[in-house]
Amino acid sequence: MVLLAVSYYLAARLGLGFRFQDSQIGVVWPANAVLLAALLLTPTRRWWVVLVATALAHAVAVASVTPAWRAAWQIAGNALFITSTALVLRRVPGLPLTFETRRQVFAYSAIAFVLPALYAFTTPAFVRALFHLELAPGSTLATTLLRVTLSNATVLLLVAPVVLLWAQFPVHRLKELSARRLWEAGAVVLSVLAVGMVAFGTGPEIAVGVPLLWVFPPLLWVAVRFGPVGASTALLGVAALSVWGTARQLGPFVLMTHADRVLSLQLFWIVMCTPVMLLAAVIWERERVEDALQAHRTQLAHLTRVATAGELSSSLAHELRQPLTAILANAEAAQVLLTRDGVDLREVRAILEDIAEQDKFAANVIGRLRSLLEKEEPHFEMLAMETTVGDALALSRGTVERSGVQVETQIAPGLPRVRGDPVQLLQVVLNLVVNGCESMSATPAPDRRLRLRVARQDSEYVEVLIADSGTGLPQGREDRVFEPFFTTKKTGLGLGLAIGRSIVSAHGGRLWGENNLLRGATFHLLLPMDHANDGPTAADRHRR
Amino acid sequence: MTDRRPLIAIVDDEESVRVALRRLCNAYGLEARTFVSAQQLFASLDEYRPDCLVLDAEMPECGGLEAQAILQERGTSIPAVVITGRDDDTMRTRSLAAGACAYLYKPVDAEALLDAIRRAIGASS
Repeated sequence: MVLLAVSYYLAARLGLGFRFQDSQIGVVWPANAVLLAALLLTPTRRWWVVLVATALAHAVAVASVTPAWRAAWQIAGNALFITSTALVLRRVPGLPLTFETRRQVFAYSAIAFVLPALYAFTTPAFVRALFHLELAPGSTLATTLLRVTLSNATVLLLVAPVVLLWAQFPVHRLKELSARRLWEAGAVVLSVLAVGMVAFGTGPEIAVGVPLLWVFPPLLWVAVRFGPVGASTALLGVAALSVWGTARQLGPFVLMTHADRVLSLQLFWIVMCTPVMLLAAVIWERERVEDALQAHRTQLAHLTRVATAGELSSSLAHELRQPLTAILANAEAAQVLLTRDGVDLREVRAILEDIAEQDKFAANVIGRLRSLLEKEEPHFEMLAMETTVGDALALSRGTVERSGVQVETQIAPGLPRVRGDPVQLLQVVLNLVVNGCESMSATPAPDRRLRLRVARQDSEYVEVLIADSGTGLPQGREDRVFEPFFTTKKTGLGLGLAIGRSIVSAHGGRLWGENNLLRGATFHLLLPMDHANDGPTAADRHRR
Repeated sequence: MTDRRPLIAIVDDEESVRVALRRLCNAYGLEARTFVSAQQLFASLDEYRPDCLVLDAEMPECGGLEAQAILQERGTSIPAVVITGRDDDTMRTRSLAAGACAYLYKPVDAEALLDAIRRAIGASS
């Protein structure tokens, strides 16, 4: 509460510096933004503490320039205005106020116009104007109402979002920002400063007209790239620069009379605020939708991997039983050998070497299975597609053998790397291999051949080609197999190829299938080469 | 049984399993010889007559069940112990019906395998 009182006091002193000439009406009263933010971030049962703290801070801040009765009126009036605004904001746009949705920005903007207009009728300035007391030169009842309304609307639209958003902002996240993002933020700040200097810091005859519009490109940049927090902060920065220039008799606003100048500044701020904040909210909402879609896609990919692992489970169990059989038989043989006189150490050593080798083989099977089942966010790294093909064949070995399929693999030498998620690409290739094997169940045993070829395709792509001699794709509707839930199998979700294509698309590649001239189908998987890196591939995680 | 060491033919397409089972049999006093496929076994039967076969149920081209059938067609009667890496009850039933003395699941315990081999040899002698 001490921090709140100090913040309010400083904001009030700042506000005293922004006043209409010959008037008690402030151009902007930032202390109200502090009070509003405090109320919105505090439970209602504690509001009285906030109101008492800010009332005391207000009294101290204005004591030297305002009579006690007027200060008391201001305190009561501000408390009534901001409390009612906070109550309406709690009910209409909802809390927490993050300005991350169009609904919140629209509702907030409407409230920020309507409530100040209503509140204007309760202010001392209006009452004095009503009774023609201490009316500033050139002021009328209407201009007085307009000034008070715009003054408070400016606070709500320009200052309150900054205070609210930064008060809620998890500062530790700043440390997580990448260097690239920090550079971009620096460039944005510089561009806002630069256009602000041009628009508000040059002679009025230069600054009038077009330079004023120059402030919008950096503002739009911030809104698109840095969300509501960045947008609201940049808007306040532009407003501060406009005040700075106007105070130095620079910029376009000094060409008007003093009263018009202030009103024009306020209208300029208000006109800037809502569209920029709205754009930030629209972009933010869209990014959240895209994030949610990506998360769903990742979950779906994981689900299909789990389903594939389920289909492979009996083959994988078979894969594990082979090394386990060898390990057990070797160990039991060694136990017998070691009980004999004159132990054949060479034989025992050979046995132990085989045990270790078979143990590693079993660990690799488990590692591949685990990587397939892992539920991780996509993780892009440089990888060799021949390794992915090898892993897919290792995982599907049991299925291949049980299907009686002969596999022919052709790997072109010196293949470039691709950049991708090793688990997702393994999933795609594994799915194509398993599908190919299953499609050949009706093919005569000697003709069951699965051909895999990994080669360059042009200078841009690495191609994995998987050709089978199975039933082929639906004639004339070959692409239907990539539709979700399309399946010709008795089991399976019918999602494997659909997910596979979306994974490959996300990698900037292509996946399609076509029927062979004689029998079966050929699938083509194209992935862009990683020209940026020609070094060795990152070690596969499951091979550690 | 004669005094000579019993001859065991191990037929498995997986080299590590073949080698390990041969070592196990040898350690327990059996004379084991390994074959990479049933065809290789058939080709050797003119000059080699094992007392018991240890057959892998799943091998490319000719699995344990098919090998039993071919031996029966040839009129060659050698007791067989079938080992498998798959949980397949149908295959077990068919193998036992085809004359297999035992049907064991990998990984095969030494005691169970040797007991099955001894029973198979004992039953045929």
